[in-house]
Amino acid sequence: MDWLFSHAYGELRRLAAAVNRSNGPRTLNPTALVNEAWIKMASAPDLRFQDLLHFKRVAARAMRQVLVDYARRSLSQKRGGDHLLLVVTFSEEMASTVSVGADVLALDDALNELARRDARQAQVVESRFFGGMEVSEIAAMLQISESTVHREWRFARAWLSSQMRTSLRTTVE
Amino acid sequence: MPDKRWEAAQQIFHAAVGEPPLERERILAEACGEDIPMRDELRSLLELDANVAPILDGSLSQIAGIFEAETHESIVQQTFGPYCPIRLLGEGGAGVVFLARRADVGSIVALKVLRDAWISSERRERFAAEQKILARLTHPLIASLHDSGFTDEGTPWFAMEYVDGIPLNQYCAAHDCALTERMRLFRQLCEAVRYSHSQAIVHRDIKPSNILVTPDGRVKLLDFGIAKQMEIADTGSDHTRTGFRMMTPAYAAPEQIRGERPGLHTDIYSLGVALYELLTGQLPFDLTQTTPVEAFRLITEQEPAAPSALIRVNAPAPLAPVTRAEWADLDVMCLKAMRKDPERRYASADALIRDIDAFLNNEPLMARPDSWQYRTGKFFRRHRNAILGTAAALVILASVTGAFFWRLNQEQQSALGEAARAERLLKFTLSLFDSGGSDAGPSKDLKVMEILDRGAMQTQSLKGDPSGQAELYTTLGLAYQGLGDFGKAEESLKAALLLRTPPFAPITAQAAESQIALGLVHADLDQFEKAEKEIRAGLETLEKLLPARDPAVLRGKVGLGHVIMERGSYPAAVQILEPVIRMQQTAGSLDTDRAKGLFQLSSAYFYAGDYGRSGVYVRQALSLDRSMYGAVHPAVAEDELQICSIAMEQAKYPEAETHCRTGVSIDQSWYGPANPVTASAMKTLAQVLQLENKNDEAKLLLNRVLAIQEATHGPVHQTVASALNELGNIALNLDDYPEAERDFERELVIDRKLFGDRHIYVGAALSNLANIANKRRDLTGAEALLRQALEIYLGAQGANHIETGDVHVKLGHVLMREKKYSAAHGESALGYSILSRQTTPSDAFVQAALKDLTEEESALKKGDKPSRAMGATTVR
Repeated sequence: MDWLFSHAYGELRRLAAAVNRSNGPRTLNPTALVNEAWIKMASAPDLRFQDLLHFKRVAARAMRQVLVDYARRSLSQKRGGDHLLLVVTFSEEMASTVSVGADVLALDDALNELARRDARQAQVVESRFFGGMEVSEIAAMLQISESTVHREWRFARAWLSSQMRTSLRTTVE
Repeated sequence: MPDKRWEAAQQIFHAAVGEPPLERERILAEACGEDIPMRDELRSLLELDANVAPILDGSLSQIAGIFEAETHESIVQQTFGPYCPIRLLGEGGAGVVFLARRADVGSIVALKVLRDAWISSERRERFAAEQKILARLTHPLIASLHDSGFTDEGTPWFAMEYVDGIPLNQYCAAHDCALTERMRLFRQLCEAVRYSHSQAIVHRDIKPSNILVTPDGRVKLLDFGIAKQMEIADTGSDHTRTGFRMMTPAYAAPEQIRGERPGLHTDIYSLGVALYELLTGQLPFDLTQTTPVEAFRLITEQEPAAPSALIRVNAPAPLAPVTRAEWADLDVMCLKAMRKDPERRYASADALIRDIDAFLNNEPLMARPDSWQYRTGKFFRRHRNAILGTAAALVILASVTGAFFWRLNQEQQSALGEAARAERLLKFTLSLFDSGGSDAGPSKDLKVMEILDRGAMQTQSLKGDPSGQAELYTTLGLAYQGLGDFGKAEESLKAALLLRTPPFAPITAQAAESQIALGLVHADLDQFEKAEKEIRAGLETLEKLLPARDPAVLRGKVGLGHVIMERGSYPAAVQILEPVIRMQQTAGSLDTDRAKGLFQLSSAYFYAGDYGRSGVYVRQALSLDRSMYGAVHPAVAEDELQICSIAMEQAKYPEAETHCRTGVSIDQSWYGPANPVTASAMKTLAQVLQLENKNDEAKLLLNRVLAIQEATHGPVHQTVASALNELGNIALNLDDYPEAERDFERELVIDRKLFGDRHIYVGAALSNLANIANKRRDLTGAEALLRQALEIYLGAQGANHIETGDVHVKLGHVLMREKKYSAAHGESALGYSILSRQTTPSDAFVQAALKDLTEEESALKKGDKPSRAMGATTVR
């Protein structure tokens, strides 16, 4: 697992950096990155299907790490009182005065909290959100039913939001 | 919420979710009962479920996209000195470029802001000083640097001349530029570089995105000196430092990657790469699929394919009409600029421009195409396993350590400081080696050992990168092997193999190579069965993963050949090695590999008795080794000693002596006089001297040798047996039979212990003892011993081998003396027929056989037939 992780992580970081450096579209599309990393790693001839899901799970974790790194870096740039806080909205109903970087970090923390209570559920979230895996894939990987995946995701979503709201509130104040 | 409650909570949640609010309340009340906290919590969760959850409902790419926008937005809010950013122009690895306006004057500039960098106050002076130097660069082909500074928090920025243009490669593609046009543009680029070099400023980061072409076809070189400025900038201690921010690996020169100071020659290299891309549309090395360690190896050791070779595959249309002769010149220009060895590149941009002009005017180039001598010059330093590979290994070790700049974070950077110091020390040591070996000796071996041990410790601490660690362990292992410390070599290579074979992962070619390297060390430790198994396993993997002609596969086969030879099956070894040699010639293997293969094949032929072929191949190896390493080098010594052995077998003793003395003197100066390798060379010299009847000197040498080998390897070792064998032979020649017998018996014991009863060494020992018995007139004893020996030789070498023939002759001679004439005749005749086909008439044994045959025939004619009375031998 360690080996896979460090390779996946290294691969994703490299890809992410490559995206940064290119003159093309500037958005980091994590799903595309994970897929690219997978294609590269699957070129080893002996990889079997079982490992694909396993890899995706690992890659999801790695992707999460990449984004957390990213978030930390972008947050730490805002040193001193010089910078304006940006207002970011995803939708009309929701207005937050905290930057997205903080959001990702809060999510990371919340996810760790979740993992403490229910490791598999955290896995579901990580695979779905960071790894872009389909519900069917997650079900197959974790050997549970798809409806279980749906339910676990739904609950986790609410719970994580609650956690994040608490921690973000603390940050702003 | 604790565990059981967690499960329960989820169940309740799912029961209530999706129901209308009233129903939800009812379910909650029913399920939670008295547990108010749970009810409250669930209620809020259910509410959240009904609402939008900002991040989790979004897609990740939205978030990531926002990250980018954030950064830019935040910058656009700022001002940098008198400059205000207007809009984003583009992005590079180092930072972002904005179009900006100067507030007071209104002029337009390109404003480059470095990301993730800030300058501490200590460094700001240096930064400013450097800025002054850069501001001096004024040239039509260079984008001027107007101004630079840093924000209050220390983020550096540069205000440069705004150039309205597109990158060079895009320009050429868009305008369908023909070769001449491309060369003219390239020439402009070289002009720009020439100018700045005249101002003693190195660019360090020349790449197509820094080379713009304006609509009127003028080249502008950007970002001059920014690389250096960035180096001056301190990136701070809580950031992960990724080295590839400092340079673009695909364009970086080998010395840059190794962490050395860039110089004018570095820009020349980048010019070469730029030209390469202009001509072929591709980069010389595709690094997108590589790890830093692999990329490092590619850039510093792998020669790029010649542009003309690539073009043949897919030529962009405008370049198709270029002639072959022109391509030859272009190849020369391009590859000369890109030599790994900075000294071998164009010495200046000026020289390159001269050649470009010559090309454009259809004149012959001043740059001479390199012969293979230069191409495989001192910068390819992989040596053979069996000899001192330390010098090369140390270079590689230092270089590979340098590659860690790519991936380590700050704590490990300090370990790198250590590594950098180690590297300097290594370089110093290496320079001593380079001076022709006159200073080489045991004291230096000690230093080298220290360095290796230190390297071993460092490697242990660099845990962040298992593949880089494995690389280091491999290098260490090879170095230890070269110095003869097989125990440590085994340890290191085992560690490397372990790192390269993580559980549940498919086996890689690298792991297979590690397996083979480990096998070779086991061979050095005389564990031949194990060695062969390992090497075969590794080779099998390699053949599965790589094409049959891949240098790694060929190397593996050479290793297998080596071990098979050590186990005594020479014909089998030849079979394996012959095709490998041929493939190595054509498949572009490194000269080091080729020399290794040739030597191995020569050895196989030697032991198989084909001295002619053996001589041919070893001489090829010698000339390769001489050109790679110079005249004083262990590889050359090995070749000389092999030539000596061949000459010995061909009875050309004076020639053998000359070559042997050369080999011994090289080994003495390289390894020292008490080193087992030197001892082994001395043994061979003793053999020669003996054959020339210079027995006294021979005996002296051999006793010294015996002492050294026993001290090094213990009393039961091949080399000890070998020395005893020689001493026995000398004693024999001096008619000191008791001494001879003592030596051969000791030898026999050792050989039996090491190799079992069927090995040819045992056969040789038996044969020698038979000699003594013969001289003592113990003919029955001699016959018995020789028959044992014969059986062994027939099994190991085959019925038609020279050595088998020799034994037939010896046996025939003894039988003759026993007056068993017809049996004797059978043996002598058989021996003669085997030998006369394979060697010259002047061969000692051929002569002896003839003599015996004559005597036997006349005896048989006389009607003496005591063979009927005595036991008859079966004639094979």
